[in-house]
This record gives sequence, structure tokens and C-alpha cells, in this order.
Amino acid sequence: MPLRKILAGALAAGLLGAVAACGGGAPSDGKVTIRFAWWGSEQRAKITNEAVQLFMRKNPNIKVTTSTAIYDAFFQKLATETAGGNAPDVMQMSDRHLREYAERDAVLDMRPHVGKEIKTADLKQEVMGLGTLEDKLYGLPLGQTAMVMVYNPVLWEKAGAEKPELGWTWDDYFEAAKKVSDETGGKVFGASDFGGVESWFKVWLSQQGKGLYTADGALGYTEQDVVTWWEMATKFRKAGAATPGEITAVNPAGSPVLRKVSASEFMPDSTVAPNAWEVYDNDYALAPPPQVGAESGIYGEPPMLISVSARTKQRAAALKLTDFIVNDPDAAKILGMSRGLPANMKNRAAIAPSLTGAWKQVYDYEELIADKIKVGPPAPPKGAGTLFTLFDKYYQDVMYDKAAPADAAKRYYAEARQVVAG
Amino acid sequence: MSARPSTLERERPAPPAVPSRTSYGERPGVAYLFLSPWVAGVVLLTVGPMLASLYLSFTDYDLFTAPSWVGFENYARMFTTDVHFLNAVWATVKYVLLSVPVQLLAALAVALLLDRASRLQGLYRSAFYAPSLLGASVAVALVWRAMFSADGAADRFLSFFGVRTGGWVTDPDLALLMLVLLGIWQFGAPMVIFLAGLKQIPAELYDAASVDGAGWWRRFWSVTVPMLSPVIFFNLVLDTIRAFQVFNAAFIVSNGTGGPGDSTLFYTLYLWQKGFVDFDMGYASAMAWVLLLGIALVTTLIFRSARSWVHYGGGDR
Amino acid sequence: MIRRAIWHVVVLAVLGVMLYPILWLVASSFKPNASIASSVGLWADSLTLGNYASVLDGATDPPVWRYFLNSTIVAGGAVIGNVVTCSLAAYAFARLRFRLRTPLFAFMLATIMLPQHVVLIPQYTIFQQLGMVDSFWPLVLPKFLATDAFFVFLMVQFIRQLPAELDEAARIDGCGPIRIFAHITLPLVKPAMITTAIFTFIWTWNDFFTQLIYLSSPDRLTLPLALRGYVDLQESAASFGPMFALSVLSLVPILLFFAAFQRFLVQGLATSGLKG
Repeated sequence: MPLRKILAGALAAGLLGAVAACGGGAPSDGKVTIRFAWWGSEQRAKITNEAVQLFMRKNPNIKVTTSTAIYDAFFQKLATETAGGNAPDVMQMSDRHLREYAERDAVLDMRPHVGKEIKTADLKQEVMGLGTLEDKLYGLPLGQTAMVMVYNPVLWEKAGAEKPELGWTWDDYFEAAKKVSDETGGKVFGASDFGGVESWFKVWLSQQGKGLYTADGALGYTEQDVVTWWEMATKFRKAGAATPGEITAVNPAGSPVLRKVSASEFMPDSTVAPNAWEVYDNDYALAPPPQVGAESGIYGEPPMLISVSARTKQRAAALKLTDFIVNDPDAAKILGMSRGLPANMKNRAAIAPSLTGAWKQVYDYEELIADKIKVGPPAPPKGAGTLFTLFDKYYQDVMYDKAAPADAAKRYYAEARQVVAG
Repeated sequence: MSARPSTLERERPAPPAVPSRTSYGERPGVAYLFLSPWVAGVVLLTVGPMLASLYLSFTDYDLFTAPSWVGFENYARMFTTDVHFLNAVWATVKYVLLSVPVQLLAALAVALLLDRASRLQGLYRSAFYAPSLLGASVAVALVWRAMFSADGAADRFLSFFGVRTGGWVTDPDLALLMLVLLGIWQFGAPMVIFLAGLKQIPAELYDAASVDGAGWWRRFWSVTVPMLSPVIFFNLVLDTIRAFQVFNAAFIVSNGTGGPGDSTLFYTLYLWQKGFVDFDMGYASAMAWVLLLGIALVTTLIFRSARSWVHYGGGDR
Repeated sequence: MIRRAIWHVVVLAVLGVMLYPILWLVASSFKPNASIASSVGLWADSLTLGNYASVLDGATDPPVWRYFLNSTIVAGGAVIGNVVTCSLAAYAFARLRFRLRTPLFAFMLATIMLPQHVVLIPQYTIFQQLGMVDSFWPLVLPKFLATDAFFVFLMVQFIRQLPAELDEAARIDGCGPIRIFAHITLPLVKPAMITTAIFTFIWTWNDFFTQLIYLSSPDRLTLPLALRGYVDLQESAASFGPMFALSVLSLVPILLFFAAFQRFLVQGLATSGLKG
């Protein structure tokens, strides 16, 4: 690694040589040690650690150390570790970052191991796409998730709003949300402003047969699409159907629904935690997103992937753990739906009867939309992580009434094209 | 080391009675003995990474693959095609100009207020320092947003005086001001340094001034300020450097987006985004060195001005 | 007497405004988890000790005392390192003459002007080569090598504030620089050393970034890392209540540390025997 060479020159080489004696997981007692890192809540950590304990009981010669952080922190740390040549052997990976790591040979192509160490026969094939780049398998799906609308049925009913059902339209949503806002006198808004969230824009595009990116990594939508989307969001906001900018603005206390100032919001169903209703402190129900035309537009996607470091010194053990997390039936019982529906169909069927509470609701929702789901989009290009932030940033100008949708969309689109072009 | 000089040292010939200012009688080696941990730190941990980042600033470096030399391209991009760079500079300059003077004045005022004998003094000192204990955690972010949300404490306080803000987080200027206030609120560090400095002023000087019939204001200007000047100077330099690098507050409170618009896109926040979100570490390194030059320029100006207003008891050797 | 009362009133009024947010924080730690995110005011309908119970019940892995222990080790080590090595370096810069003094001092200042994010990866690489990643060494060792230029500069300023005549007198008495440092300078800059100790302890205690990068194993995690785990807004899994409870608990040691050491700040020249 060149950076290290530069450093070695700058430093007293002898000093380093004298002390440097650490190799990851040198098997002194016949045991190998690997590290497994993921992002997520404390709850996910608890559950995942339990599964890892089980793995170690089943494989007494492998010791797994774990580390966890929340999303942003996780990727800052992962980038530093990877650059420093000390990436975790097994890591949770997001589709937005996969290409950055895969194209720079930081994560392993697991294709040669498929059918041997890694079994994919029982995995839902439709969700394998996001981890696949040019036929190389860089990430296995850790589950399956779909966009869902979480809403408050009590308020909905009180306001006399039409119950959201499969096939309902954005116009229906506008009417319903408006009624809820009116009913509560603006204390609780019918909808959280959705304009700035790229993931929802993606669903809306997909309902019209488009996508965020084309297969060759260019933008899959036009400037006019952005204008139309932002104008629709602005219509919601101006009519008081959706939350105003002040409330929508990023808040460390959580989204408007979490803060109980909005009655509905879109999210990936994998993020509905088992104690979600307790956190929301209210009655909540799940519904499919509204539609533009005949298509639901919902993708079945892995909420996150699992990848193996390309430079792991313990490849066999790392692959074994990866396969265990994805396929092992006992692990599946522990992991439940902490990362969405299990991608392994046998495990999915096995855990279904024992589900309760919020997870049961998510399961039922997935059943409801099962035959409407589209095969996930291809893995996004480099720069996807940047665009995700940029999309929200330019919408803020609209949301705070600092710019008209058309004007902000124009500036956004110009910069987005630049980012994707590299 | 024993408290009394050893016989050996006592037998050494006495130095000249009136020493010249330049000779201190020590071998230069002694200085490096004192400096040895620092020098080791520089060699082992500081100089290598600094040189590495300087080199990387002239390369296209994506963290994972070998850097490739691009000359001054990164530097040129900052001032030509990058639409956010100047916004980041502007947001940071505004932050520095607003937060540094106010924070230092507040810290000095409270330090003076507390610099008197009182049984409750220790308690007060701790209480004023309390906000600074919090650092920049999620809890602080939540607290701060709660204070400045619609119907929060700040708005209720202001509307008492008939002022309507119309929302702190959605207005570019107020969003910046919200972060400036967070910085000012945590003025504990300069306050403590001022207090320590005040304690170091010999009481005789005040006694002498009082005997001369000087009032509080006069004592303040003729004794406190000159005697405290090295500490004022220190706080000014360090606070300026730290304000230029403001990161945590914006990262935590606005979740690192720099919004609304680019109004809170502080320089290091943007640098972090470039390096760790966009994987453009070459560019981030170039930004870092531009910042270093900027801060060095400002610091040099402060150092230059110090010759006319900073007074050292030990002489400015 | 009236002046005294006015003084107290002024101090208390300023304090009231300043401490309101902290009061809010403490109040939040007694609110039920679900009502925290939505409440803006100080008071809640119901108060609970449940947040503290859930933090302290030992169900976390590792138990909460472990985070406190780890943070104490890191912060304590950092304090010793900074106080010892920064004062040594500061004395050299402030009082001794050597050829490279000015350029080295300028270089030292430059080290704090460069944003840490760009030296993070090279530094990580060094610690990785030294086999120190996922231990406390990367957090403590730099402090023993006086890399905190802030504190070197702080002590330089305080030493330069001391009358030069003291050193001259001691030197005439036959003291060498080491002796002058130990017996004259150090006792007189006690406030600066206490300041260094207090700041180092608190800043290390609260530092998130460095600890995030270098510590991985669950049983090596420190308080700032544990605190971040409670709220992940990417998931709808926010345990605000326990997070506030642990935040309040984690403030206690640094508040005690500050309260215990701040009284030494009072001992400036006035009480350290300059008159003698």
C-alpha cells in the first residue's frame, strides 16, 4: 500500500520494525480470530451478538470479535480501517457504499465460493441483485425489505379519511392527509414532508417505470421528474397536509412521526423495530405507498448486505460466518426480522409462525404486497451516497421557501450529473 | 530530586553577578532533554502524517487505491468549479467573527465576576463550567434543538420581548446563530484559563494601585489587562484556531448536512464530507492545507499585534 | 452588604439562563422514553426512574460500570501524560534558549491548525503497524509524547507570565535549569497544570471521534461510544430515556473531577510564597 510506504519513509523505519509484530488472528492456540462489524441500534447489537455466540459454540475453533456503531460513525470507521489495512473480516455493507468498496477491491468476490462455503440455493434470487456487480458477488442479502407507509389509524378514522389500501393514489393521500391535519387543527399533520427523501422519490419513479439510475450508472430520471416530485410535495406542504419546513428539518429527536407531530411517514419496513409501537407510544398500522398509475413501484430489496474483506487473513472462517448469518436456521430464529424478512426462504417460512407484535405486522404487510414487488434495481454507481444527501439539501431550499421547485431542481440536477459523471 | 542543591553544584564557580540576557548558563542539550517527549511525538506521530497529507493534497486519492499525482488540480478546483467551497469558507468566517469575540468577552466577564473571595465561589465556578462539561454529545444536540424549536425556550423568551423569529432551523442566518450560541454557551475553558491567569497576578500590584487611589476601572486597565495579556493572547489565538475548525456542533446538531442551504456547512464539515463520504481524500487534504495557511495567516497577524499589547513578566525573549 | 447581595443576584441570574438547558437534560432523564422526543418543555405529565433502572440493571453487554472504568483509564492516563510532558516541553519553549526554538514553536502551533480528519488515516496506519489498534494505547500514548500543542502553548504562556527575576535569582544561587524547573517554575504554574489536568480529563472523557476509530471490542468501549448506541434514527429504535439517564450519570465523574480540582486554581502567586 503506497500510503504506508510514504509513511515508512517519513518515519524511522527501524522504530516501526522493532515493534510491529501484530498480525490479525495469528492462531497461537489453534484458534483463529475474526472480526465482524455492523451498524445499527443497541437492540440489533444484542440480537446479533447472541447469534455470534451460537456460531462460536458451533465452531469452537473460531473466535469472533464484534464491533458496532451507528450508521454514519460505522462508515467513517470502516473507511479508516480499510485504508489502514485493518478492515473487519466480515462486515455489514450498504448498497450505497458497495461500489466504492467493491471497485477498489476492498471486498471479496464471493462468486467462486458459491455452492461451496456459501450457499445461495434457498435465498430469494430477486434480492441478490444489489450485491452483484458485473456478475461478481460482493454482498449477500441480509434480508428483504420494502417501502411501507406507517400511519396512525386512530387519527385517520377520527378525521374520516379514507383508509389507505393497495392501489390508492397520491391524490387520495393528499385528501386523507389534509383531513387529518384539519381534524387536529394543525397539531398533528397528516403526512411528513416526503420531498427530500431520495428513497421515496425512487418508489415514485419506479411507479412510472423509471429508476434512480440506469443499468450503466447514469441518472435514470430527468430534471422535470425532480420538478414534478418537488411540486407535489410543495402542494402537500402549502395546503397544510404535510409538515412545514420547521418540523421536517433534521432533528436529533427523530422524524416527525416519532415526535408525534405527523400521522404518516414512509420507511423501509426493516426499520420497524420489535418495540416500534412502544417507541411511537401510539397505535400504528402499515400500508402500501400511494401510486401514480397502475404499478405499486415497490422494490423488494435487501436492507443491507453482508460482505467479506478482500484482505482477510482468515477467509475460510469469514466465509463460514457469513454463510451462518445468512443461512443457518438456528441463527435465523435468533435474528428474527432485525434486518427485514430473512432472505433465506426456508428460514422465512420457519420463523413466520412465531412472530408477534410489530414484526408480525411487517410480515403480513410483505405477504400483502408479495406479488406486486419488483425485482430490485441494479447496484447504484459511485457517488450514490453523495446524491442521497444532495437531494435532501436542495429540497431544503424548497421546503424553507427559499427557492421554487423548478429553480432548486435545476441546480440539483446540474450538480447530480457532475457527481455521477465522476 | 532533592530539594537542596548537591555539594557538587555548590562547589561550581558562581556565575557572573550580572548575567547578560542572552546567556542562561545552560547547555543547549538541556533544552532538548526537556523537549525529548515532544520531539519523539513529532517524529513518531505528527510529522509523518502531516507530510503524508501534504503529499496527498497533490494527488487523486480515494482512500483504498494508490494515490495518483495531479499537481495543483485539487487546489484549482476549490476556487473554480466547486460550488460549495466558498459557501463553506463564508459560513466558517462568519462563525469565527461572531463566536470568538463574544465567547472571550463572556468568559472574561464571568471570570472577573467570580474572581473574589466568596464561600460560594467554588460552587459558582462549577456551575458556570457545567455547560462545557457536556461536550458535543447526542444529548446536547437534543437539548439544543429543544431550546430552539418552535415553542422552545428561546422563542418563548424572545416573544416575551415581542420578537418573533419564525423558526431557528429553517432560517440560514438563525441556524448559524444557533450554533454560534452553542459555542458561546460552552465558554468554560477560556473562563477557567482567565481565572487561573487572574490568580497569578501578584496581589501587591493591586495593593499598590489602590494606595495610589485607583478605582476599579483604572485598576482593571492598568493592572489586570496588562498582567493578564499573555493569557488573553493565548485564549484569542487558541479560540480562533478552534473556531476555524468548528465541526462537532454542526455535525451533531444538524446531522452533518450543513443546511439549510450551505449556511452551516462549516469548513471542516465539508472537508469531512469530501474525505469520508465522497472518498475524495486528495481534495480533502488540499482543503486542510488551505485552511492551515488561512489560520496561520490570521495567527501570524495576532502574533504580530501581540508585540504592542502583550506584556510578559519574564520578558519576551 | 447590599453590594454583596447584588453580586449574588447577578451571578444567579446569569446562571439561571445558562443552566436551563442542563436542567432540561436532567428532567428528560426522568421522563418516560416515549414522551421525550415530543416534549419541548421542562415538565412531563409523569416522571419515572425506569430510565436509570434500565441503564443500571446490568442487562447491557458489557455492564455499564465497564464503560465508566474504560473511560476513567483513558482519561486518567491522558491527564498524567499531558501534565508531565506538556510542562516539560513548555518550560523549554518558554525559558530555555536553543537554536531551533522559533521554528519548532511555529511548527507546534501548525500541528493544531491542520484539521485532524486528514491525518487520521496516516495516524491510524502507524498505530496499526505498532499493533496498538483496539487498545487504549492510541488514546493515551500521544499524550505522553506531548502532542497536545494546546496545553504546551497554555503552559508556555503561564511560565512567561512569571517574573524572570525569580529564575535569575535561583540561577545566581547556582541552580541549573532542571532544578529551577522543579523547584521554582512548577510550583508557580500550578494553576496552569490544574487547568491542563481538568481540561484533559473532561475532553478525553467526552471525545467521540478518536475513540470510535481506535476502539472496537465491546469490552473496551467507553462512555461516548456507548451513548451513541442508544439512538439510531436510521432505525426507529431510539432509547432516548436510557440515553439521557446514562448522559446524566456520565456527567457525574467529570463534574466531581472539576469540583475537586477547581479549588486548586485559586492557589496562584498570592498563596504560593512569592513574597518570601
